[in-house]
This record gives sequence, C-alpha cells and structure tokens, in this order.
Amino acid sequence: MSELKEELKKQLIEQLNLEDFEVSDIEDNDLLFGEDGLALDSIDALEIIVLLEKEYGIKVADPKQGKDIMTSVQTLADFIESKR
Amino acid sequence: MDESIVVTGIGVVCSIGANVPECFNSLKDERAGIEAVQYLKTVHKERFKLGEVKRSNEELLQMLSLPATSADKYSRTALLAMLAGQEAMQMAEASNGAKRTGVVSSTTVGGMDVTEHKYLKDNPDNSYLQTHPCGDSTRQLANFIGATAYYTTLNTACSSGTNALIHGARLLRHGIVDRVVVGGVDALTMFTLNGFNSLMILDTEHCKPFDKNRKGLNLAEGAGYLVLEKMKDAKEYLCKVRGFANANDAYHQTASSPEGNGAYSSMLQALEMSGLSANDIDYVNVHGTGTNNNDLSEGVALNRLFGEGKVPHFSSTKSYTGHTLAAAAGIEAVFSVLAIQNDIVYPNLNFKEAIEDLDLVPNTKVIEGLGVNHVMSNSFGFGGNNSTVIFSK
Amino acid sequence: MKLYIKSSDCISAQATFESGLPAELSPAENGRLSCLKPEYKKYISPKLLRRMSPIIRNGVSGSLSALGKAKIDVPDAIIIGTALGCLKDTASFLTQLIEENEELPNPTHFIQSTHNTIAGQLALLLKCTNYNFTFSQMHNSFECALLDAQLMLLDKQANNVLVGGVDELPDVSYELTKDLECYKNATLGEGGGFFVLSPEESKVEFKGVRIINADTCNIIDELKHFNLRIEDIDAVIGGDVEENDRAYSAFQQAFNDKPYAWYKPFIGEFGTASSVALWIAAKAIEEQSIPQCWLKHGKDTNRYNNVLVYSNVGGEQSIMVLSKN
Repeated sequence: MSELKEELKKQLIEQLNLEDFEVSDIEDNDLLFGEDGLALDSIDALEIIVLLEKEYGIKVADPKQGKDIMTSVQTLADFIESKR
Repeated sequence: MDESIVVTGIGVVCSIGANVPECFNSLKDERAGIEAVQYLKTVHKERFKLGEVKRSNEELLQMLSLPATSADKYSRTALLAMLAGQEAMQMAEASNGAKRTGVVSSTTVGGMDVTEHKYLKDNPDNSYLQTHPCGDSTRQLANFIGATAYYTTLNTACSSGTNALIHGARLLRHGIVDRVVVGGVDALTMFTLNGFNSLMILDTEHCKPFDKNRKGLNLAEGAGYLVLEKMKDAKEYLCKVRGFANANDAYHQTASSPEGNGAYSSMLQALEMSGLSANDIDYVNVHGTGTNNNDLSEGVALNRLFGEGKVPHFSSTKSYTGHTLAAAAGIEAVFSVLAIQNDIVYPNLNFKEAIEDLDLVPNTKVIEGLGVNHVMSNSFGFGGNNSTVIFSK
Repeated sequence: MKLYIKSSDCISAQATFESGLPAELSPAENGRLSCLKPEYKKYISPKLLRRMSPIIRNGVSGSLSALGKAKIDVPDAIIIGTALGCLKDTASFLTQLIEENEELPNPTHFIQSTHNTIAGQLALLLKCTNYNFTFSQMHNSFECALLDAQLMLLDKQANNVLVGGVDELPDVSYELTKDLECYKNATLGEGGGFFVLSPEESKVEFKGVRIINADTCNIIDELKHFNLRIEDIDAVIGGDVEENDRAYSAFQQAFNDKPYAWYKPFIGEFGTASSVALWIAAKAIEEQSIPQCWLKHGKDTNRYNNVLVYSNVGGEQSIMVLSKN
C-alpha cells in the first residue's frame, strides 16, 4: 500500500507538472483539491481520470464519481486497491 | 446619419442541409442531422453520433465547380466555408450589386482535418502546412468569392462567429470595406472529437439541451455566413443587426461560472446597445450545447436577465445540428435571421424535463405567426468567451 | 481623435524584455532564433505556470509587463494576434492521438491548444471580464488585432486596450517549416510585442495600421492616409530576411537616404514578427535613437518624428506609422 502511494505521488507530480513538489512534500492525507492542500482544479481531475485508466486500467465514467475518490492520495490508493 | 447595419445575404451548410432552403425545411420538419459516423475517420466510429455534413470532399468540390485535381489545395474547412460563403455572397450581390467586400471568418482548428492525416507520416508531402493555419480557409474563401478588400480570422473558440460579426460591423462603420461576409466554419476532426471526449462532455446519444438528464454535446461541422452592409447603402435587406457584445467570464479556462456572469454580461450589453428592453425579445437562440455546465450557467443567466418566469421563447438548434464549434454562431445567426423572415420559432428537440431549480422550459414545437421581431442569439466558448447578437425586423 | 502607445514590451531572441533597444545583438544558433526567457515567476504563479507552453508564458508575461508600465490593472479590452497559436500543445495532443491510436490523450494539451488560450488566461489572471478577442490571419494576425483596437478606441468603446502579437517555435514546427518555400533564406524565430493603446497622451502617437492584400504597394498613396509624404518619414523598419530581399528592395529605394532598420535576421521570421517591429519603432521614438547594429542602411540620426513599419510576407502586406508627440 505504501509503495502504491509513493508511486501515485510520483505519477501525480509528473502528470500534473507539479514542478515545485517532491514526493516527500505530499502527505497521504493532504487534500488534493482546495486551497489548504495541493489546490488542484477540474482540469487536474480530468488528468487523474486518464491516469487511473492508463496506469491502473480503472475506468471512471462519471466525472462526478471522481470527487470522492480524489480527496487525497490515501483515498486514491484505497480506490485502486479496492478494484484490484 | 443612419449608421444601422443590415443583413443582405445568408448562407449555410451543416448536418441538416447544404444550403439555406434545405436547412430551413429541416428546421420546420423537426429533422435533426445527428447520426452515425459516415465520413470522419476515427476509431470511435461506433461510439459517437456526429452532425456531419452529408457530402464527401469530392462532392463538395463538385458543388463548387472545382476540379477534383485541386483537392490537395483545400481543407474540408475551406470547402465548407466556400460553399456557405458563396451562397451568402450571391444573395447580397443579386439584390445590391457588387461592392468592395471583405471577409471576417472564424474557425477553431482551421485545416486540422487535413493535418491529422498527414502529420507524422513518412511522406514528403507537406502541403498540409499551407492548409493548416486558421487563416488559410478565410483566404481561400475571400479569393473564391472575390472579397479580398480585407480578410481576417477570429479564433475565440465557440463564440468566434459572433465576434467575427462584431469586427465586421466595425470595419463597415469605418469604411474599411463597404460589404463584409461574417461568420464561421469548422470541419469535423479526430482532433476535436478526441479533445471533447477527453473533457468527458460528449453525449453518446442524441444531445438533450436544457434537459435535466442532459449528458453532453454532439460534435458537428458546418459553416454559416451573413453578409453585412450599412443600411443606407442597401437597396434590400433581410433584417437589422441591432446589438452585439462580447464579455469574458474570467472564471475558468473551459467551464462557465455558476452565476453565468459572462453570459449575463454579454446579453445585457447587447440589449443595451440595441436600445430594446428585455421583454421586446421574442426568441432566444441559446448556446445550449447540452453539457451539464453550459446549460445550467446559461439558464441562470437567462433567468437573471429576463426574470424568472419571464424568459421568452427559447431553444437550442444544436439539438438539430450538433455543436459546430466556430461555425455555431454563424449557423445560428442564419437561423435567427430566418426566424424573423418567416416569423417562426424553432423547437428544442429531445427536451423532456426541466433542469431542477431553473424552471426553464424551452420551446418544444414549431410555432409560426407569433410576430417574431427581435431575436437574440448566444454563443459562448473556451477561455470564458461570451458573445451575444440581436437581430431585428 | 489621436491615439497613443502608452506602454510596450517585447520578448524575443534578443535582450528586449523590460529593456530599451539593445545595442548588441546575438546571432542565431543552429539556424533558429529562440526567445530569451523572462523570469516568468515574476508575473505568473507556479500553479498556473506549470501548464503553460512557451507561447502562453511569453504572451502573458509580455502583456502583464506592458500593462504594469501603463499602470493599468484591468484593461478595457484584450486583443491578441497569433498566426499559428499554441503549436506545442497542438502537436503534443495530435502526436498522442496518432501514436496511441486515439486512446486516452491528455485533456490538458487539448485545452491549452486553442488559439485564444493566451487572451483567456490573461482574462482569468486579471479578472478581466471585458472584451476579449484573438485574431489569426497568418502574417497579418497582429495587424488585424491592432486595427480592431484602433477602431474600438476611435469608437470610444474603450479607453485603453491591451494588444499583442505572439507566436512560438517549438522543435516540431521548426523541423516542419524550415524548408517551406515562403521561409526560404529566413531564420525562423519566435516571440512577440505587447502594447497598451489609449487616447491618453504619451511620447508616441500611433497614427494607424493599413493592411494591404495586393501584389504591390503604392507607398505614396498609402502615406496619404496618414497625411504624410515620403520626406516626412525619418526611419523605416523593414521586414527583410536577407540582404537582397526582393519584396523590400523597391520599398527601400523609396527611402534611400533614410535610416533603414531590419529585424528579422535578429529576431527571426514568424507570423507575428511585425509586432516586434512596432516595438522597435516605438523605442526609436521614445529614445530618439536606433543603435547602429539594427541599421541595414544609413546612420542613426537621433531625430525621429515619423517612423514607418513595413511588412510583406508573400503579398500579405501592412504598414504601421508612429509619430513623436
């Protein structure tokens, strides 16, 4: 699980061009969206949906469903685990 | 001195017809053009319905009396522009003679329909580099219809066509040209289909603008042009251009604000310019793409401008044509002119249930004889770009 | 009504940004002239910067710098000209589509690929809900934007307009376009010029722009539109790409005894290169000097009342005139 989270953080940094971030800067429970966390936006959400399908073979058909899944790296990892 | 600007010609090609009479008949007969993919080369052929112009490039060349050997010279975008532009220009010349004419066209992806098939291919044919720029289809159109006094292209995504009209009106007022062909064009491409698909805003079924259960838009292609002249120079005209405006939502790159600020502002400013009051408007041809976000935001703006329960007859003709991107405003401007000319209001196809909280019910059947004098047409695009135009009898 | 250039800035392969006319010019590297990169973070937050391709970064930074110099927070209009738009994102999205057979391309490239991303991003950053246009007419893209700004100001529909021209030269388009006939003998480049136009007085009066779609250009007639004669012009900024550029030689002859500056050998050829030329003209008037390295013919006279900018690429011609106030 912790390996998965590391991997996810790396992929997020790369895919979303989070140039100023290192893996160690992102806590498992940091909010991905919202100003208190990484402050990602809806375009990032679409990119994460693409990432989930490309890297993990998981389809998220309804962008609304994505909201709960994408709260934090932890929730993303939980979601991926549950689909494995 | 009367500086009023009038429409002296119209031309259109889209999924519901290859000229004005064909499109008007389809509108009256409630015949949509959104169908299974017939022409576009894409792996998503089975998945999406599109609003294709039901003519191959070879057929379009024939309709334009151009030799089949010149196929490489033109993108499909240019061919569609030339077909609709020619129709509009011929109508204006027939009633008002020849004049020093310019073209202000718009397109979002220009000659991408050619580029996407030749790019990265191992062949020495780089002719697509000529047809690729947005300005190419406009230059081709200007040369084809003999309107080279001035030509330019706007690309403000899906609001482009109305912005072309705004720039064109300015050129007329300052005497840069005496007649100007304004509107827009876009051909269907794998590029835009996949682009909108990646944004998850395409409906795999026939789109349902302003319906509670709307799922997205149907991508489409076409071209629509108006010919504008100063009223004092025109012997005959179809209707007046009464007001127009462009405003920016400044909210998000692709989404509209929940308050519909940009939409409200462009409608309000156009109304102010027209000198009309909100209850003078008889019909609104809404942007109404069928996406969750657009229709909600536009609906909120309509309620704000007209007052809840007082919104005039409105419909999205994208339920017939699909969303033709930069051509949408041009095509819908032609439909708006036709609504005034024929005193008719078009239905919003596929509507069943109103969006919760909005309580907005679009017009669902053809209504004639209502006394359509003033029509408002909205076009909104990426980058927060919002434009509105008002036509009057 | 008279119009003025209230402020301007320029991003190019030379040290033009936040600067006057450079007195030294660096040559092209590997046959191309890439932009010197401004300190983008001064203008754009890292959160936004991360998605921006060079054209958006340059367009936004250059515009914000011009606005800052004019002390304008929110302009009445934003009008951008770009010949080819966001080529890098367009190429990225297209390449992905073709190579991965239309499977899951990244939406960001598509979103950023639209031509009006630059003007749209400016609106977002400035919370500017006003008029927002983007023109794309090949080599006259900037001129069309400038004309729209000019007419809008004359109609009193705005009191200040941000107008800019910008293009980018990513590797992929360099490879594709370097052998094109219309760019023969040219060094390809990128960058742009950004201006605030206003009826409020400044050192530089903007007389106007003329767009000419013809094979020839009768300069005497064209100058009449500005109430000027050949002898009134103190310097010409021409768009030549080589020593014996046919399109420009006749033009040059008409102004034989005047300082004649050229710029395409230093900033490169691109669709909106004429926006850089207008910046050079504005600086010549502001500084009453043109460093000798820019001059193809003649000597710096330190006396510039009327400066003419002439551009011609394959028959798409334009004339812009600036005067000292």
